[in-house]
Amino acid sequence: MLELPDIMRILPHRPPILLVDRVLEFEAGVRLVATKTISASEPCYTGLADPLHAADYAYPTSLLIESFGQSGALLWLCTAQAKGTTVDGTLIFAQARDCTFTGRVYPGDVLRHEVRMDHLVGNNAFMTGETWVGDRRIATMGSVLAVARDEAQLPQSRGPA
Amino acid sequence: MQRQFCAPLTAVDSVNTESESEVSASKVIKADDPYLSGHYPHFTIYPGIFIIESVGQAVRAHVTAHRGATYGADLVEVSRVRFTAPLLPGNTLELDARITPGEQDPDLLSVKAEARREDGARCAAMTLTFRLEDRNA
Repeated sequence: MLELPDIMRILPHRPPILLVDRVLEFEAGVRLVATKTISASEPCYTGLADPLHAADYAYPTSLLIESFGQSGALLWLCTAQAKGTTVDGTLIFAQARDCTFTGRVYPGDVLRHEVRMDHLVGNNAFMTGETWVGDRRIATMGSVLAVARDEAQLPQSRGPA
Repeated sequence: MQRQFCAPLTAVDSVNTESESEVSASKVIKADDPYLSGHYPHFTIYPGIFIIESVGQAVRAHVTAHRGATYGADLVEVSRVRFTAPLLPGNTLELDARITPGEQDPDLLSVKAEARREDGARCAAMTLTFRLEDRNA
């Protein structure tokens, strides 16, 4: 129901760190299902020793979490859009709890993130969900908190003392 | 140098693996680090998730030093993580982690890590679990 150009109108992320390809299902304020196909041509597969053990070609869990987080951001932003409101500022991954990873994923696999909105209070969204490849559960996200923060209020970088 | 595992970027510049129960590492954030051009085009910020990647690479270096180069360390649980201050290009990430092998299963490593910026601001705190695997076994 949302293709890449639609997603790029909603998320500020751009390739190579735009990690959602397609949104399949969306219910405002409730849930969203999004996919990302893993490819060996992504930058994370460059500069590797050759050959490696099969397990060392597994897609980085950090990027899997980011991909889930972007699906969560889409759920929040699409919900706001559906209600005719806006979310002010940049969405930031603030905290997470009880996330478990039970499988490795490889190029050719399609991640399917099922994100649910637990509660949405002001500039804070608590989300939960799972990541699947086919009928194999790869990750369970107990609780993820995203917050909307005005960029102008982000503490500015200070140079080394 | 060629990487021995798939990763979005080299997320540590230097790692101190001398201690058996602790590891520390640092990384200078650069605007041209891989993936950062898209995060975001108008405003570059080191993604919080990449701090988890930095901790993972520090733990892997520690495992290589203490268990051998054939061991991999897979992240299996994020019990909790909190991101509290941003890292921007020019900042230095400094992280310290305590590594405790599981009592029941010594191949499960519990890792409590804290990441600070060069000005002392705490960027993140996290408790993670890694599973060791001898890739040659």
